Amino acid sequence: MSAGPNSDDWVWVVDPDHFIIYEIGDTTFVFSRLSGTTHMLNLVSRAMLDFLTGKPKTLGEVVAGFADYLQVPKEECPSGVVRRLFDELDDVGLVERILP
Amino acid sequence: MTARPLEKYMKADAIRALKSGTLVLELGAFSTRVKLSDRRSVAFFLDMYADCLVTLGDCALSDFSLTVRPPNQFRKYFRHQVVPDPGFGFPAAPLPVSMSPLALEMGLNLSVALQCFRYAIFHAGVVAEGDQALIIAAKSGGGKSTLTAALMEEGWRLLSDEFAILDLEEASLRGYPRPVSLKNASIDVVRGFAGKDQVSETLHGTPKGSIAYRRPRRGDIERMALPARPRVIVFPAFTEGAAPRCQEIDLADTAMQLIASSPNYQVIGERAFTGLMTMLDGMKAYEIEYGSTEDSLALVSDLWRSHVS
Amino acid sequence: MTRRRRDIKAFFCIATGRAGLPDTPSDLAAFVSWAQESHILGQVAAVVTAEVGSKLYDILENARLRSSYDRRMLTFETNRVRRALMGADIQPILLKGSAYVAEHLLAGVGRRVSDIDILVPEEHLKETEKLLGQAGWRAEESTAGAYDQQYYRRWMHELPPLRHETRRTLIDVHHRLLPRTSRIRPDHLKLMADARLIEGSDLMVFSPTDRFIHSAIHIFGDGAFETPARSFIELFYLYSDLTGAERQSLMLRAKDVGAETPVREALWMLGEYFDIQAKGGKAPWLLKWCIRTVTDGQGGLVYLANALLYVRSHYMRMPLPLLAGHLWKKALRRV
Repeated sequence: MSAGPNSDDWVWVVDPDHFIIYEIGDTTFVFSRLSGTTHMLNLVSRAMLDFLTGKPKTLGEVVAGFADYLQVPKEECPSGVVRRLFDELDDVGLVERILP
Repeated sequence: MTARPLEKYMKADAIRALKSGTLVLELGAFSTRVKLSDRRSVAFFLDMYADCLVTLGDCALSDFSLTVRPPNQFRKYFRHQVVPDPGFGFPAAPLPVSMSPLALEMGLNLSVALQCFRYAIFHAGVVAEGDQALIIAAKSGGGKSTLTAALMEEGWRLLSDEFAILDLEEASLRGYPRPVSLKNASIDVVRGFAGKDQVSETLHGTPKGSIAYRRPRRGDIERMALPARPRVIVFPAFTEGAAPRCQEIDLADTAMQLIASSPNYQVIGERAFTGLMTMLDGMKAYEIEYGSTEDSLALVSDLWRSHVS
Repeated sequence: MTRRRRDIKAFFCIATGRAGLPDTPSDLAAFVSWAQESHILGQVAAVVTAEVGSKLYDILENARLRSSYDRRMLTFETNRVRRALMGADIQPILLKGSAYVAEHLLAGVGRRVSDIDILVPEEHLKETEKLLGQAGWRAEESTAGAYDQQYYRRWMHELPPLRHETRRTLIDVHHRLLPRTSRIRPDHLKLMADARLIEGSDLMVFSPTDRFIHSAIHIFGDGAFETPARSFIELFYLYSDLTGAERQSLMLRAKDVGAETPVREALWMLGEYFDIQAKGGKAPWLLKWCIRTVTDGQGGLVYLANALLYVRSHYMRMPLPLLAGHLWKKALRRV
């Protein structure tokens, strides 16, 4: 199940006004204002959120650039995993499409 | 038309009001219009809620409205049953009329759990020492209510047995001191230390086993409007013959457990999120395991003293 | 507490902000009780200001919080529908509560809503169902059995209700406004032709006139008046949103789209409870009696009136032989 179709030329971004963050120790809690749901994010999911906050990208750009953003070798960041992290944000409406 | 303790009214007036649905229970954070039709739940209410403030008449507004009635006209006359009706078509299973106090208590719980959005509600008991509160998280069979009753005996104030009611602006807990529900073995234990007149008659053979209730005391009622700031949360586990054990647990896990236990967190949304996070700030959470009441009290006393000066 | 018919009209007046709260505590309690039972406290909260710290304030604030949640949930679900259909060149028309909230209409303020309703052309139904399915919406368990699915798809005006597998929210996908077998045959194509885009979105809504007509069809042509206060307040607000010109042309449009009867009945109701003198209001005597009785809500005859309205709603949906067959099959299943 995915929230919807995707296309290489569609541009996505996370709007910082659409969520609140609260940290308890090493755990990040995110409240999504659109969906009203609360999420516990681990370090990698948090990184994906930060990667897209205020920085529009296509899915292709996300897949290509995430390993560098995390400063890890590309092998440790297979595209399937990156897509899944993106989908998690897509499912709860945290990532939104910018229409041309 | 101000509220007065139930026992101050003429018994006949109180009974008439209960039967006609013109009695409003003003208890802490909530007021509830209560309508009862059978002798047993009326007697239970007059006994367990004797010190509670009520208003008679049809001019009082109430947050909620609960009727305990036969499920249909037929059941009024044959194989007597009752069902709690909180007014929004909740599909509660009927109970034999001999268990009507259980229907009343369940109905009052449902009324709050499913209709309150002004406060964030978590499934837990709350007691307080002064204006500092201890949250006792509920887990089936964990012994929350026995521990609550034992702490009451040690001088702690009862805020509520079934719900932690969080004021989202103040990050403090509100009182709603209803009778503490006791199950099976704990009934005799509590009768033992609180005294027979503090505990209701036992209802046998309910879907949850044997059930009885410990009344809220006059002091709990008198101070029910005083909020308390939560400092510690415990997750109690009673295990026969277990050695006492205390383990600090992660606040992040505690947050997720509290959210999962809340009937209205999702509905309230953002304010519940920030309210909960603010509440947890500076709190400590512990799992405690014990095999006796004395051990549970000792554990609580230790961790309370070490965290709350 | 007995309430005479006169009081219900006064209650409607207060509930829509056209009169102040009652003066006496017992009248106020009677009004609040009625609003609580009718599930319209959210709407009342939008037009009444209570003294801070009073119990009325608590009650209204509580209702306001509940309807805020519904509005947020509906807005998010609408957002998810757009997401699921992104790029597919399907522009669903939002119906009823979904439309009222999306367009910020008075009819949507403080309203309790549970499902989303969308309307798509019949030729897009399969694709819509497929895309929604890929995004997690599946047929509801209670109608997932073979007969019910078959019944639904053959005779109804909508797909079986779809429930989202994680969020548990419901969506009704309509392809016409009423079941194929309904006595009233509104021309949904005409209504769809007049639909317009919501600003900044590829979702659509009916024109204001058509929204009123659709609501009248739904309430007077398809329902059993289970929540009369809610339904009538909805029609009141939708009518209030119409311009003078739109009100003048209302009956003409109603006739044109085949919804004359339900619109006349809705106009009768507006005159009866809201003192709106619109030309053309008319309803059969028995329907008037039933509606007055259930809206008044008290007395032994309410049971009878409800039963009659229930039978009427089924009669409106199906001619007798079909109805008998349907009920028979349902009864067999239960055994």
